[in-house]
Amino acid sequence: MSTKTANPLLELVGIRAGYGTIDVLHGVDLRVMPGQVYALLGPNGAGKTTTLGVASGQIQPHSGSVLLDGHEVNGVSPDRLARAGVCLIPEGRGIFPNLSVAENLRMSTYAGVPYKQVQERAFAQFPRLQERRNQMAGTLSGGEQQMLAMSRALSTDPAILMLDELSMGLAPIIVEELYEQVATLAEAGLSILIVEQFAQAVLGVANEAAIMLHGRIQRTGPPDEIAEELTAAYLGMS
Amino acid sequence: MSDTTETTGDSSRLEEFHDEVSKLRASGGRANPDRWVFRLGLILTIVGLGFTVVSFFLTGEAYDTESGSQHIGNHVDLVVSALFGLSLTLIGLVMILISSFKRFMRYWLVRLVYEYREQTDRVVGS
Repeated sequence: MSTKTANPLLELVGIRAGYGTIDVLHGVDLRVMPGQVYALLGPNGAGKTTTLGVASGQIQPHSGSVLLDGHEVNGVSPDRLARAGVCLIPEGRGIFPNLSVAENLRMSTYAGVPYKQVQERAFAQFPRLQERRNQMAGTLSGGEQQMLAMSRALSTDPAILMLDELSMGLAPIIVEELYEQVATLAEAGLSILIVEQFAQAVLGVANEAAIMLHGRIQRTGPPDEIAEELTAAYLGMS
Repeated sequence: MSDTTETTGDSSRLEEFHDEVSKLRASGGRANPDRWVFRLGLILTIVGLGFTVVSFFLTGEAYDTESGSQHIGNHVDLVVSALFGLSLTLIGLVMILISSFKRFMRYWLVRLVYEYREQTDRVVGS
């Protein structure tokens, strides 16, 4: 189905945020349009995860605005944003390691989606999870854990999905497999904001990309242009 | 991948999202609200204690200078202000306790999450 929307689904305007009295973000502006895959790239410590924290309501900005579909949501609690359709898969996957795969999926029925439906959707997307359904999540491989985390996120039928370091600690072949899923989701119309340190895979599926350095977005543009400038930016040459 | 201004988004989900978001009330939340609650609690406690102590000492001086005897009317005013001070102190202490407890619970939760991650990495690594 095709729709034309004037408002960005997620917009950050002049965000200054940090931890305690220390600012990590120094005026971040970004816009994720409906159906867009937006890749936020940058080295360790650039402020990417903090940006996701602000966008998902977990970190309150010191100044600036967070807008969802043009509506300011500063101060709205993360759980209310999650119920509305904002979903974050954190770095480290955010699964319950001491619960089985099936139990982890059951924990994501808080949004009101029946357990059977959650399970069917998860197993259709990632058949490997069905084979491991009774296995403790903590004993899954890194890739399988990421699959489980994605299944849990998608079972809530999010409007915007935020992924923090999807590829971290995973073998290239698994990363490729996961990004194929991301591409499928994007084709289905889901808006996705991906934060990555290693850019190659994500630039293959993104519509727009940005380079973040020292708490500021240095450059925004099409993925191919960003790819050319990335090395220079990481090395502090731009 | 298609141009995002002419998005391929599922319009019914987007409409649903629009409805959900418009129901959210932005409180204009700022960073570290707990710290403000703690500070306000501290101020209320100090002001309340001040009221109570001043009222207590003034009670001793509340006597009729002409007859040289204590006057119950003056006492009532001071007792009321002392009770007001005690109420402020109590509210301030509750605010301090709530913000401290929330901070502790948050710390405990972060620690739990951190330990879970450590454990996961250990299990996967072995």
